[in-house]
Amino acid sequence: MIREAAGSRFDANGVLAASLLLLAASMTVAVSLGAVNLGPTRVLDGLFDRGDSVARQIVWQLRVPRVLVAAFVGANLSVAGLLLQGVTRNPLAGPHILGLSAGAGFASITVVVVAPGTPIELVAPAAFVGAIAAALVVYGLAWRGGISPVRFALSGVATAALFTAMSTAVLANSDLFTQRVLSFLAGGLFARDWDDAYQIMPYTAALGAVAFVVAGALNVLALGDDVARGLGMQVERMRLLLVVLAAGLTGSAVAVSGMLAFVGLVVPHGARILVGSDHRRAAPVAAALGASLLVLADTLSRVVIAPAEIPVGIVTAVVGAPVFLLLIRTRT
Amino acid sequence: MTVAEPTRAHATTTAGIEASGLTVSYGSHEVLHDVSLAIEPGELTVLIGPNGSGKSTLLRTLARLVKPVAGGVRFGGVDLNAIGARELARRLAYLPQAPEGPPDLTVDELVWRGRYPNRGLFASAHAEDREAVDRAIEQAGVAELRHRALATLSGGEHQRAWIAMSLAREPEMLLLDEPTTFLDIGHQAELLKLLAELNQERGITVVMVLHDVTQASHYARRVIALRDGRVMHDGDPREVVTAEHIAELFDTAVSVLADPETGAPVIVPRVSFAPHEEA
Repeated sequence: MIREAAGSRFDANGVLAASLLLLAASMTVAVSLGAVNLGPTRVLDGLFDRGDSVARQIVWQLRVPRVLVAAFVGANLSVAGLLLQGVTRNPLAGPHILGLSAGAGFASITVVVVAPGTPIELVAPAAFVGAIAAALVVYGLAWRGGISPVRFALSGVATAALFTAMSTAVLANSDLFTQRVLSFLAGGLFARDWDDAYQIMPYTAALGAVAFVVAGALNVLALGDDVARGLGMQVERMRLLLVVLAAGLTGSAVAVSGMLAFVGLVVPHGARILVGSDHRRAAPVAAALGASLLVLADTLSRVVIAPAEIPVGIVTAVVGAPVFLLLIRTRT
Repeated sequence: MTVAEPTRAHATTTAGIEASGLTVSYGSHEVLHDVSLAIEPGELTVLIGPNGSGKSTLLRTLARLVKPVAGGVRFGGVDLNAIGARELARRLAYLPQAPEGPPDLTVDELVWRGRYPNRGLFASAHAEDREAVDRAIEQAGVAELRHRALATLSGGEHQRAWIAMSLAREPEMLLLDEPTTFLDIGHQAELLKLLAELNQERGITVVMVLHDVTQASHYARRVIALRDGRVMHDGDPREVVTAEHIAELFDTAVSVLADPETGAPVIVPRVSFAPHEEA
């Protein structure tokens, strides 16, 4: 699947540094651009609170939290994708294809539609539960005294279809058709604010840290089940832990952004092309690249037809689909 | 849960393995029937037998990858189930047939992953890990391939890289399932020589499955022949590998000659077939 010889890899630390620089640059651009053209001076005035209250309001209450949400969502989905591709040993796996996003989306939509007064802080835990439920359904369907990566992927496709249909059913029987509910389906970051940023931040920090540590387990799993067991790894238990971790990352992302396709599928490939198949090196790079990608995609979604917006899910699909097809043609 | 034992960190220690009354089933199909055998510490033993005779299953059961429905295994005198996963992994290395890793993985990275039982997920690399990895790479003769990706290696090099990975944990016993599959005869001989040296020089107990009975007779001091999940013959190759035994094991007529240099048995198939006369 991965053709690069060792020599064509780049230095892992250099790649990570470059990815972080890219992220910083993306965030700078994202904060500078928007429906209201402030210009660099007013952006800086707003950012450093130099007496321009309108600029300060726009920068700190609208743009910064939204950029942070985009970065966290991008990082979560990309790391989740990296974990899932490692667990299934399938380069076409991802949180969206395996049904985790659909499970999280169904849970979020149900909470918002059935109990419209639910405080926003409860949407992320609900989505988390939904993603884990979907993961367990996928796991249960694929289980036959053990999990084969192929059965796992196929069960995921079926589960994704099931949960998406259930979401549509809930929506079809509801007269509540708000922007927020709609954005769960298409994936959007419209009017995301500090509440949303605070909602996802702890998940990104805590689960991201755990993911970084257990990414080393994927390196052992990549040698095959028998070899991994022979090396003393509890293979089934480790796989379940990794899947639940991916579900948590996905659920918290879906709770604030809805279902975004392609991010969790494409970014892990980018990370592995750059640093090779050591998941411990690839995880932080995937997080930084995923964050940059979504920050840039969201900026695009805000400025292309400003003051109106395109849902960012459409931007990621338009960018992601051809990249994905290219990957299929060149790397499988 | 583990019995206090002398430190096993050094490669000079070695262990035997003992199976008693092993019965293994896959679903309703019984693959091994009441198999008992004892492998002494420091032995080099080869399992032979036709396809489906249960050789690989026996090897996997000894490595605790398959649970027997009856009978048990003792490793180094201790019940296999009483040994912790990581401890067992440090002491016993199992190498499946045709192992596969990520194609862009380098030999060095592969061998480092073989240190997992000693390090776990959290430990950073210590000097002793580095030394063990260097030693394994040296012993398996892959030093010059250290920074090559797996995808760029030939079959023989690939197999030696996996042997190095198995050696990195400094095991007392190697269990190998057809390590010479897909290798040409030159590389087969080279690999078996390497394993024989590891056995003689480091005292590692070696149990392997081989298809080629002549090869088995050449390298092993003990050959165990299986058929239909039962041990049919067990002992010195000269006693086990006879024309009569081979004919009944493999359902094919053979002559057995003696290697003019070593006296080890050499198999020659005797199939009534005239390849060149009519063409």
